[in-house]
Amino acid sequence: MKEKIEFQAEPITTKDIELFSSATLSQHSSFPLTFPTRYRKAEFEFLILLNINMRNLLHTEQEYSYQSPLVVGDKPLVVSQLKENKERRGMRFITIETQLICNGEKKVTSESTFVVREAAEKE
Amino acid sequence: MWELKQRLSPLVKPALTEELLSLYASASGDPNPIHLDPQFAREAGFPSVIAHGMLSMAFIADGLCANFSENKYKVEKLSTRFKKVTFPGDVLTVQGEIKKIQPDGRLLISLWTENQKGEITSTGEAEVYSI
Repeated sequence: MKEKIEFQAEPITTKDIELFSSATLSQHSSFPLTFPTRYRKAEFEFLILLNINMRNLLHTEQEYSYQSPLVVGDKPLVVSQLKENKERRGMRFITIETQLICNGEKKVTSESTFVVREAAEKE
Repeated sequence: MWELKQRLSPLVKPALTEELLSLYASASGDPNPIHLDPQFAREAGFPSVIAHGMLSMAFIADGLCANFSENKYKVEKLSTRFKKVTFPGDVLTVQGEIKKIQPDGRLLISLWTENQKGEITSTGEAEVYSI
């Protein structure tokens, strides 16, 4: 089981921002704070590798720390790590941390937490 | 000047629609069919497709930015817990309150979304400072 997945994303374009703002009905920021959710591809790869049934998956918590602003033209290196994969009280808790790094500068760190109902089913 | 326990101006978002969920799935790259495929959602135990939790977080972020202009404030942290599933037709309102004012002026803000029944569907926290 991999514990780290990384990929090089395409440069952020103005069109990406406009599409995301439109899809989130965002009107009060030029660069939506949750835009980094676009880089959760590795998270889904982890969930597939863990053989998680998407019907049983609940995204329960999300956290972002902003070290430096992302801007149009940034080409993020996306590094995701599996931080937790534990079963408690019959449910599986999965936490994945993702860092967006542009030209060696860490810009955003995110943490996604999921709960898998009926965790035993996927074993 | 913000004061402790001061309420933020609420932000009422338009009703969630299946079209918006489809647009969000495309814009965010979230492939989970529970947000798009009614049959899949029913098999998961829901009466219809459910909205992405991250869409609620995006609403929270917009409510935060509506009160703390990006020209005057920088957001350092934003977190959200998804408490209750939301569906097409739900109308979410973003609310917030100043939870703590740090000695250096940084603000810790409690945020939440309520649906049209007044039920809290997500809660969050943000840390911002004046620039």
